[in-house]
Formats: sequence, structure tokens, C-alpha cells
Amino acid sequence: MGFEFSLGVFPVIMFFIGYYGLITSKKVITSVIFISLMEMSGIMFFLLLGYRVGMIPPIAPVGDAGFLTYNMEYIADPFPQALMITAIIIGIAVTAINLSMLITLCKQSKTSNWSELKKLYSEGDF
Amino acid sequence: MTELLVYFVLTPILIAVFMYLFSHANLGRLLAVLFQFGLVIASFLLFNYVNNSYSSVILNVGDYRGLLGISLGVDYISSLFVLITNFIFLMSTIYSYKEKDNKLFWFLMFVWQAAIVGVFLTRDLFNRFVLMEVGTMIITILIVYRRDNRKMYHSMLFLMINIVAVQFYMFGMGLIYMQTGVLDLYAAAARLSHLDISYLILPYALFMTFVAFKAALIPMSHWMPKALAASGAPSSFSAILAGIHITSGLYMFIRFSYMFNMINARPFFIVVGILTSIFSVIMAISAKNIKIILSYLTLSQIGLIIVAFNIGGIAYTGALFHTANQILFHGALFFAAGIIAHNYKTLNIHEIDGVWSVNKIAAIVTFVGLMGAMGIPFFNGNISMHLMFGYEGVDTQIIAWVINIGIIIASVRYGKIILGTPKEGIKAEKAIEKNIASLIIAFFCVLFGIGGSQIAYYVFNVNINIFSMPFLTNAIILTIVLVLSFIFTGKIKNDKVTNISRDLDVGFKGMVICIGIFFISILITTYLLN
Repeated sequence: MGFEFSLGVFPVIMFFIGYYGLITSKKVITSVIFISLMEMSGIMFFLLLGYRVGMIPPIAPVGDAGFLTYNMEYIADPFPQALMITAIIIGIAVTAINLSMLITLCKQSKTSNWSELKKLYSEGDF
Repeated sequence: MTELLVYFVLTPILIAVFMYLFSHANLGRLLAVLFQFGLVIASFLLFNYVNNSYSSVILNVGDYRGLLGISLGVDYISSLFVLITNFIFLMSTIYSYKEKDNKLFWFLMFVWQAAIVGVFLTRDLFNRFVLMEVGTMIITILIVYRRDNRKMYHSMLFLMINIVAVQFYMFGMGLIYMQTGVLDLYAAAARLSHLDISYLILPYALFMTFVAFKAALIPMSHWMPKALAASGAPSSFSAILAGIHITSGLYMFIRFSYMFNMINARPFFIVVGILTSIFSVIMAISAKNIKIILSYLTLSQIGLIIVAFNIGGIAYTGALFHTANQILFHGALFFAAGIIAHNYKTLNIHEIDGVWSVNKIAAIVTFVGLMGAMGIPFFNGNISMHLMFGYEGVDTQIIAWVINIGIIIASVRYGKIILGTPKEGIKAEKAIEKNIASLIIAFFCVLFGIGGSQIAYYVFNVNINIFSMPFLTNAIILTIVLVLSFIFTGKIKNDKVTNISRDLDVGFKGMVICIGIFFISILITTYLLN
């Protein structure tokens, strides 16, 4: 039972949609949304690594025998899920910081357009 | 010794909490300096132990067997990086000693130290991802430290572009886990060596895109100077970001090159390193902001180091030595730039003149830092530069010379701020702690220059004869180039030149496209080379 390549295509497509969105979006808020989409694609890809058709969840059944009643080969890998909880939390924190800065910046600058923001705050850097 | 490894990460976090509570008290800040000093001593002992015993120290956190837990480990490379990191943070603590009302700054600085040291110590790929993310968040907050719209814009830009880059790492890590079933770097390396090379090209390209972004290689160089120029945090932040944070990118380059040692992408990185250096030199010559000039000078050295890493052999050793040296001389330059900016109330190089008349210590430290950056004899960049390129073929030496001449021109242009007559009303403000920290780093720059051959022998087991003909010839040519540059390089004020850097500025979309271009380039090149 190998990695489900057919399912693995979806995160890759999501990643490229996110990347395309970042290149084409004019507003900062849409960029934040597309970055979140890219983050989700990475998390989804990792989660799919632990998924195999026909496998059972890594939860011990009630009884003394526990996992021993199962063939270990048929138990899904719980490791990616455990890691992705951390990644999801980081993703939420990053999005929250991004949005809070965006709100403050847009309120004071009266724009959320990338090129206008660049003109306002980036010219003269060098 | 093994159990102590975890304290290299934990101690800075404890100091961070302590400083958040007690940074307003003199005793609190003094204790922080003492703690940092203790960490430097401990790092030196660790380095000494690892270097003398020719072994690694490995700690399985939680004492899990096999590959179930996270493991920390040091060899002579990581122990060297940990030692330099802790030293720069000690100097930064002394430099920022009077920042008594900035408890958030103190807290963030020490957590950042823990994150960077953690990146050097951890052997786990996911752990490294988390620590890099922590570092990114801290830099984001430090950029926006003194809140205004410009800092907010640059902070948001930095955060978003970092998140895009880190997704490449995430996918690469997923592919490694899919193929090996482990996230321990060394275990993964062992298992990857049994796989067909075609399975490794994609994860390699993904990892290296992230690493190149962190090391600010071309075409992704823009984020670092912009973050530095916009930062509202005290000047020690600049020294750490340009010196240590970028170096963590170089460190990951070494480690991931080891993990994918069966892949040959050396020609690609040699070209990228050369282009990074040339681009950075052009930007450093044309920029007006002194922090941006220094950050591009840093990147020009990073490009050279990447070239030397990929040449291999003695150049690899030279690159390791030069990494340590560039942290020192750029630390000195950024510290001095902080003092200069404080005295002159500007970062514009055209408005800064006569630093020697205003603040002699800042002038001396700037001079020593620039001499190191140019590789002038008796300063610390000299011997490492010789190790990187002095033993290579003529073609490599010519390229290194061309880049170094560019670095000399940019450095001389910057160094001219020392001379001249300052405007009226500019006075040196008393900042004993800043002067002490700057002078200590400058002292080490000179020490690593004068005693460079002994240090190279002790640390890297390399014998250098500084009285050999090639070494002396290089030293004489360097000195002649320096004198000629000094005579012919003025303060470039021509709009056509100074507008180059402005015209090459890219925004968020440009940076995203640059990441994509790098990824596609390395993917195709690696495929063709293997």
C-alpha cells in the first residue's frame, strides 16, 4: 500500500493555484488568502502521506490486547497528523499577524493595493 | 556533556523571560550580560571538546530509542556556528545595554537567539522548520518595532515572502518523509543514498530554493536589505540579521548538501554565487542608505562563500573560516553604523562626512571592519579569502579578483564617510556600552587577521605559510588595488548610478516571481547535470 498519488495531485494543484494567485493579485488581502491556500496545500500534502486506502486509524481498540490484535502494517501512520497540528497553529498565527498589520496599514493608507503601497512606502529605500 | 546540549537552547529562553520582567533594572541587564558571557564560555568549551576529540555530541531529547524523538547534535561545524552566534549575541547585549525601557526587544532578542542556536543544533527537519518560523515571526515584530506605516509595510512584506518560501521547504520535507519515513537529517541522508537519483531532484530543488532564499542569493536578495533599512529595532538587530540569520541559511546549505550528497549541482551554485556577489556589489555602489550598503556588502561576501563551498577541498575550509570572519567584520560595521546613524540622525551616505572628527571609535571600528571585508593583510578577511581562492586555478582566481575589486570599490566609497569635515552641530553622544561592544568586535577582527594562520591551524587543521610567494603577491596586489580605489573612487552622487538600485527594486510580486524562477532554474539544471 503506497502513497496515494491520485490524491497527492490535489495539494500540488492547490499550491500552484496559490502561487498563480500571488503573482496576479493586486490587493494585499487576496495575497493573504492565496498564501493561506499555499499553506493548506503543504499541510494537506503531509496529511495525505499518512493516508492509505484500506488502513485503519491508529487508535487502540478496547480490550487487553490493544494494537496487538491488528497487523501493524494496516495501521495508518499518525506521525504526519501530529506534526501538522503544529504547522496549522503556526499558519493561524502568521495569518493573524498578517491580517492585523494589513488592517492597520490599510486604515491609515486608505489603500490595500500592492503597487500603491509600494509607491507610498518603498520608494527612496535605496 | 551530552545532556548540556539542550541548555544551549533553553538558557536564552530563560534569559528572555527574566529580561522581560527585569530589563528596567541595571542589575537585571548586568545579569543578562553575565549569563551571555557564561553561554559564550560554555560554547567555547563545547567547540574545544568537539574539535579536539574529532567526534560529534548527540542528545536524543526524551531519551527515545531509534528515530522516534528529536535529536540534537553538534560537530565541529555546528559548534563553531553556535560559538559565533553566542558571541555576537553577547556583544549585542552589551551594545544595547542602555535600552532599559525596551523589555519586548530584550525578550524577542533572546528568544531569537534560542531559535537560531536551535537551528544549528537540531537534526530534525520539522524541528528546524518550526525554529525558522519562530525566527521569522520575531524578525517581523522587530521590523515593525517602532510602529509606523513604512515599517508596517516592510514587516508585512517580509513575513509574507518568508511564508511563501517556507512552503517549498514544507513540500520538500513531505517528499523526504514519503521516500524515507524519517525526518532526522542524518537518517534521511543514509536512506536517500540507496534511492535512484531521479527521486531526489524535486525534493532537492524544493529544499535549496528555501535555503537560497534564507541566504538571500540572487534573484532573492532583496528581502534582507529592505528588512534592515526599514527596521525600527535597535542597531544590534541589524548585526544579528545580516550576520547570524543569513549565516543560518549558509549552515542549512551545508547540511542539505550533505543530505543530498549524491546530487551534483555545484556548477549551478558557483554561477549563482558569482552573480549574487556581482549584483550585490553593483547595488552597494549605487545605494545611498548606509544600512543597505552594508547589507549588500554582506551579500557580496555570502556569494563568494557559496562559490567556495561548491569548489570544495581547501576552498570549503576557507569558506567556513570566512563565514566566521564575515560575521565579525560585518558585526563591527553594523555596530559602528548604528553609532554613526545615532550621531548624524540620518542614514543617507551623502549627508555623512567626517566621522573621524565626530566619533573616533566609530571611525576606527568602521575602518577595521572595511579592511576585513576587503581582505587586506593583517585583518581577518585576508587569510580566509586566500584559503577560499588562493589555491584554485587561474580562471577561478580571476573571477574572485573581479568580485573583490568590486567589493574594494564599494568599501572605499563607504569608508570615505570617515574623512572630510562634518556639518556643524553634529556631536558624538556618550554611548560607552556601544563603544565597548564595537571595540571588542574590532579587536577580534584584528586578532583573527594577525593570528589568522594559527587560528586556521587550531580550528581547521590547515597550515598556511603567510610568507609564501602566492600569499605575498596577493597581499601586494590587494594593497595596490586599495590605494588606486582610494584615489579614484569618490562619493558617487551621479543620478544615473544611484538610480540603478532604485530601478532594480522589486515589490512583493517580483519577489514571488524570483522564488519561482530560482526553483525552476535549479530543478532544470539539477536534472540536466545528473
